[in-house]
Amino acid sequence: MSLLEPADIKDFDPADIVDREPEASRFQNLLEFATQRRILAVSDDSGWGKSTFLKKLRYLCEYKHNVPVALIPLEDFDDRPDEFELVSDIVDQLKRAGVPFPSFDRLNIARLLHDAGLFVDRLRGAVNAEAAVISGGQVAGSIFNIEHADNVGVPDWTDEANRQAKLLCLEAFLADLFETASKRTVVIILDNVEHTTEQLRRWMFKTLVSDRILATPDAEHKLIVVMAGEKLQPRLTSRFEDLARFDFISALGTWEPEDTARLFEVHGLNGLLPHQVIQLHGSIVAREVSLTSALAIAAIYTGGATWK
Amino acid sequence: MTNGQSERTPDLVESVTASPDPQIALAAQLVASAQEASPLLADLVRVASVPRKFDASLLRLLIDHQPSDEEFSTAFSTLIALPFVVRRRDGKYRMHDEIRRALLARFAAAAHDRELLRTLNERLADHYEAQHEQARTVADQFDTVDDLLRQVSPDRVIAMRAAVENQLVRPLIEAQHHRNVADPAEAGLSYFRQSFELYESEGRLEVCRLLLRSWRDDIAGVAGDSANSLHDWDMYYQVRLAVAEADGHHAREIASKLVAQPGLDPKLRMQTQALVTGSLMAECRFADALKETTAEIALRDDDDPDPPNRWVVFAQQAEIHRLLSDGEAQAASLSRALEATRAAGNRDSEAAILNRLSAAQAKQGRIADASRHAIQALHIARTLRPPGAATAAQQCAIQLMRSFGSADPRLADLFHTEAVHLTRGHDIHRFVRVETSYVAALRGACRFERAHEVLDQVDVRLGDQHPLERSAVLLSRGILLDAEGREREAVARNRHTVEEVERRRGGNWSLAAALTNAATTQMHIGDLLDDACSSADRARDLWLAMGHARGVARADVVRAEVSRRRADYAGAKTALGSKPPLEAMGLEDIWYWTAANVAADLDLLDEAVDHMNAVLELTMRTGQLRDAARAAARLVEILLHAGRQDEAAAAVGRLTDLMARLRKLRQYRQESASKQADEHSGRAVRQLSIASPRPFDAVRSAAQHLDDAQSADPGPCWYSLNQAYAFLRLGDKKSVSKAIEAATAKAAGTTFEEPIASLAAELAAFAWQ
Repeated sequence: MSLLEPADIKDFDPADIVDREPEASRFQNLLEFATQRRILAVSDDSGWGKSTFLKKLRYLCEYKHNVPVALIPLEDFDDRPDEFELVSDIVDQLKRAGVPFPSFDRLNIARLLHDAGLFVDRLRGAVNAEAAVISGGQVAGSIFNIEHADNVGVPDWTDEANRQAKLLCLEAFLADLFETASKRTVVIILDNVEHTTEQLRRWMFKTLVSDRILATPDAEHKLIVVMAGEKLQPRLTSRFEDLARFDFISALGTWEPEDTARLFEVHGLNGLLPHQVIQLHGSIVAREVSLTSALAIAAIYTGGATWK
Repeated sequence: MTNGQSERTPDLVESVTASPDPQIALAAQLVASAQEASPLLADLVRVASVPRKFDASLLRLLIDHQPSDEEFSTAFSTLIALPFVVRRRDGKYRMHDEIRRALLARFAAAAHDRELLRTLNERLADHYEAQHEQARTVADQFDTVDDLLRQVSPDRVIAMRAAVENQLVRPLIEAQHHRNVADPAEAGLSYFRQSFELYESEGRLEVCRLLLRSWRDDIAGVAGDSANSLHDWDMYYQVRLAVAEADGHHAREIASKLVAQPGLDPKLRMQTQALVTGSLMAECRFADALKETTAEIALRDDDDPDPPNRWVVFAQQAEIHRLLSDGEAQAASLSRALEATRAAGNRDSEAAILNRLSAAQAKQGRIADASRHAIQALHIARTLRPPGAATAAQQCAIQLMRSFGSADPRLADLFHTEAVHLTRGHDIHRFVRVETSYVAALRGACRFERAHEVLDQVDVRLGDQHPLERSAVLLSRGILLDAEGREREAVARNRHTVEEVERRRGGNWSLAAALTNAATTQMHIGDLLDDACSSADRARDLWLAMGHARGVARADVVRAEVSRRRADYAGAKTALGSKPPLEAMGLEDIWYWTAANVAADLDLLDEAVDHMNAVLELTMRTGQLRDAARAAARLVEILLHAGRQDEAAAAVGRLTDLMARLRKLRQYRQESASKQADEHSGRAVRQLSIASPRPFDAVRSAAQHLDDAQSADPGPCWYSLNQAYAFLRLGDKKSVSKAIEAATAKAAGTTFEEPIASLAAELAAFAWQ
């Protein structure tokens, strides 16, 4: 969704975030790079505040640590489950924070213009010059399956060329990303990991995490990835043998009664009676109702203010 | 509700948590509470849980009554301010997952609500389908202005292309999702297949990939009997996508897992098997493809789970034989395919197979069989209903043009006009097929000037687009120049074609074909013999890798001819071998020609005469008049050298006869009356073949056009024959008899006399259904 400003950036007010300090400090520890941990996995059931917590992390990156950050709600990709789309969104957000993506940009412009000749030339120049992971000759050969790119005219643009070009854009994205992360901290936050297609998950787990983050020595980059989702911890522990790079938050912590009261307050649910707040707080602590359900119940209680 | 009202629900938490299904209890409370505030709000809360994303206009679509704008706007504003409604990155909204699940669970709890949910999903699917159709129109329009826009404002093109792509894919995926939620096993599967196949046919595999991904995600949660079947379809389409992406290895890997699935629908297994064979054919692994098809046929001989489509496997086998240029095996497979179409009562396919059989037989010189089968196909084409009638009629026109147009230029013009009338304007592939078939007929009849004119027109129409079709036209031009005797130009053209094919990586087959053509032309030019050798060697390697025996043999013959021309007769004989390679594969004439010349050069004149006679017979049988004349002339020369004067005189007689026929062909000019008649006939056939809102009027008009055609040119039998079918549709039996009699009389003395005469009985017995 490269043309759109992420909608919730404007809506978000840091004052609306209730507590989550212990979890936030785990994240801030990662930003100090004192350990080899580069991935924070936040696992909890639906409705327990993971998405709001991730917004808090983005806020901390942007306002407290001045670190480029991209927050990606994966459930919003249900109508176009495409890793290229996901990457484009990350690129858009990080570019706004000052991270350059020169190889990706050049390739993507050529791709969108369906300009095969430009694509081959630009790629050869750009990628070689910046010592990225792929060489121009290989690129020309793999996109258009031609042996002698210099000896022939401009190849036609085909659907297959487009597919190959996208794959190369994805490679260029990773090369650009790690180039920046070798010099400065970059954070990518992926929300609702379970709410996406198998292919997108595979790209995240295999291409991004396994092939890049885990395969690159921790001393060589400052890229932090935060992932959140239901049952994420078992998913990750069964998938990866070496968990030294991971920090797990297996469930978001419980609150004090005043935190619960504050939650209703920030959502404009101000008419609740004290015993209702206490009752709801008790149910939250007992994990009988989630935060989202508690908000819904509070909305019913305070009907007059909420429904009209 | 007020705080006072909330006093009435002090035990809400308890009632929710203590409920057997807390989710449903919470959803019920939410809806009830909203209902107290406003029935419209309650409706919105409920329906907003159905789509994955929503805005005001979408929710308006989902509620049955039409509130005022103000009332709706107020309710919608309340809805999106609720703490469990989330704003998406695209500016639309969605329910928080937990609440959405609760509301959907409530829908699922009661039969009436389940029905309502299904209706809402169907309504959403219809809405997104309509959006997708609109987006397709916009995408088409964008494609037409894309080039211009790129020159004017490239930056805008980038943004617009991305927007157009999104507008196309997103509604399609949403439509598919809601069809699937409403009815995964039937409507969902059907919509996915239809959409996938549409974009596959358009070569937009990017869309196919996204569709398959999201559909797989949609069906992941389906339980019950249909789950396994859907999983099998998912694998089948993975195979299909991999084949379309030319990733045969991956396709076969998934296919082997799919066919090993217990309880797999036999029809799906067969379709998968056909894909596997197709992937091998695409890689030019013909021997492997043939093995797969033969195994499949054996399997189906024992127990065929899908008799109506049995013909498909024979047709695929025939296609492999055709690609291997094994005419006899091709004809045998087509005969079995024909039998299977007849057993299944599938007349559309029967017509298609008859046309292919006719083409194979004509190539083998079995002209009587070829004409009989062509007329049988024509009969089916004229008695089918649209739109099958149009497809079959065009296949017939192309086949008649290709196989009989060289010997009968009038027939070529007539059926070319008919085929053009049956081609839809934007179908470039079919357009090129019609025109290159016409060019082949013109070339055979030595009408070179006209053939170049036609190719020039095709070039203009194609412009810089349609690379695959352009390659076919390039090959066609090279062959034409060669046939015309403009060999050096043909060489230049063939070199260009080889470069084009290499540049595009058009596949080993295209490259080997282009190299073989190049070598065949170069071997006739003294200073290009080295080039001929290197082209032939490259082609030979490629053919060998493909297991294509004919290609290898043909390259060997080229090497033999080059050796002969260099006076290396031992080398020539080694390359030739002791007898023509691969009988019935159309190589005999070229083999005998070189063998005869080698023998003549070595003064083995009797052997040379025998071989050259064989060339003459073969080329006469297959209607290659120019090659036959060339063979007759060389035969005369050899016979004179051998002192066999009487035989030489007889050969001169044959040569004279051939030259007279060639002269007549070259003198042929299409008269304006004939052209006019063909136009009338072409229109009539179109009216008989395509769907019309007033079919009776269309048939009457066709009959009138055919009258006009006969007035303009009473010669050809085809106008009367077509008219017989028009009368058949009008139920005018007397006129049918008269028309078929006239057609038979006009066909007298031609190869079509007997087949057309035999139609009289069939037409009399035919009952129009």
